[in-house]
Amino acid sequence: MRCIRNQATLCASHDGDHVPAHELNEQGEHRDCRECVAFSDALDRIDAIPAPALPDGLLDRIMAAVALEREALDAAEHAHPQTHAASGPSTPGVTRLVDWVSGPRMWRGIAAGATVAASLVAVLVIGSLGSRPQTADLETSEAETSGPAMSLTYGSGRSSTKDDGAASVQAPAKAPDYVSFQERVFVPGSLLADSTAATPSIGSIMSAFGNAGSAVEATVYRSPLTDGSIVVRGPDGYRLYSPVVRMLNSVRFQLTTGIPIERFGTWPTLPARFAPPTAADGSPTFVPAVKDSLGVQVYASAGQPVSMGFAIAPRSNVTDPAGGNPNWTWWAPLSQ
Amino acid sequence: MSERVRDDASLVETSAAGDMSAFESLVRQHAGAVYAHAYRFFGDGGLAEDATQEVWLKVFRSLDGFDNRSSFSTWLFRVTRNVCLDMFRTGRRVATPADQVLLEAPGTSDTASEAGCSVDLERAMRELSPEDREAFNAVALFGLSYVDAGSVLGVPAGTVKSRVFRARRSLIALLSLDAKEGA
Repeated sequence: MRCIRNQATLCASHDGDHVPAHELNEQGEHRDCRECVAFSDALDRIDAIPAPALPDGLLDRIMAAVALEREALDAAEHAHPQTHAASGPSTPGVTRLVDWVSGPRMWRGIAAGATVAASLVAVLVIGSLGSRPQTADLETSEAETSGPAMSLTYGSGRSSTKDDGAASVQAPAKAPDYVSFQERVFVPGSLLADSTAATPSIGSIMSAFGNAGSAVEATVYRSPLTDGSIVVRGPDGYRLYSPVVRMLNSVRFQLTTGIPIERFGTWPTLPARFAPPTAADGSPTFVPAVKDSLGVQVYASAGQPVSMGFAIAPRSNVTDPAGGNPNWTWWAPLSQ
Repeated sequence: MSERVRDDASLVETSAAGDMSAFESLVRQHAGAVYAHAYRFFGDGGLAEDATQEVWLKVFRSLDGFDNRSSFSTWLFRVTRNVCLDMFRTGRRVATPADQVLLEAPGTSDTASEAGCSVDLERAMRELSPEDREAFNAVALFGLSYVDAGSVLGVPAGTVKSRVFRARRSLIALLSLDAKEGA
């Protein structure tokens, strides 16, 4: 069992998730593995770091606000007994309204054109934290995964009922749950409960999503967010899809694909205008450009600056936005 | 955990019957998780306080509607997440701390090392993707299982598992926690 898989199992065990017996048994192979032991220790060390604690007085302010709410409810009840419909704890004779909390309600009618700032995108910020941690060591420890990439990216729906998505597959690993729209790649976000919004349709995609059947047409709508996301009406309803992005020089670039992605688990490919490189250094199509602070090599199209887009080599780290794609990938400036 | 679930269910039932001391117990037990999630969402203590208060007002108003189909923690996480998203959509922008002062995690221990670690953790948290951070918070702050977190986030449990794993690996790398202490 490779370390990455064992560490995934360690993480799941740490969270109290069910781990298949054979994976628990295989952990024995890594009992003395320095990296896995360090990873296990690090899990405990993260937990030991205090989360932001409540500011002084906040609890009192919360209870004071709740007390006012209760007084208002009681006053309303006395003013209109048995006719007042109010929410809150049981009070005899008061009809309750159940709040909306039963499900995510993210999408309201935005015909009024409410503007929302900035992003809920899937972003890996490639920036500096000051003294950068030992990314070199991290990269080295990932060297053993340069072969078959681990399928530890988005759950593809294939294994959540079996081994919770931690099963490795033979190379190439299965891609995350992608869809593509106008050559841009997106990943599923939250399901939107409100289906009555008067937002305009901006096109459609063909996708089987996670189903085994043929791809079907799914309408795409403008997202209420200004982060490059879209809304797709799929088999389970209206779902927000976030662009797969990475940042370079504080600019967001979105993953593109040459072939339409018509099914979850399909890896994006280079756009057709790029000939697949014949060498590991990207030649003759690409030339090495800069490295980001995590040490990921970025490749420019020959004769073009990276600001117009760049490529990432195959088999990136599974934690990279490229997710271990066995193909070269092209990243274009995010359009919003 | 199962005992805590039973305790929560009992407190919710008692609170719904009008017992404010039971409700206060719920608040004291869970407000920390709510605040921490909101703080990591907004990166701003003031907005996090507003969100935390709003969450508990919504919880109070909806006590009778809680039917125990899910655990209280799961329900609370859903409410917290929705409140933060609603505040975000209505123009409460995500603050981008410009300097070290704004990154100070409020209310942390007096010991310098713990406070420093907290600041580093919160800085590292902001390097995570929103999806990974959200999944991590669901599990680490609210104690949700992958299945319950997935039900709130609208993704399979396997996706939650992947995101949490990715978040932890990123945090370990960003905080250099895989190096031996003192090395």
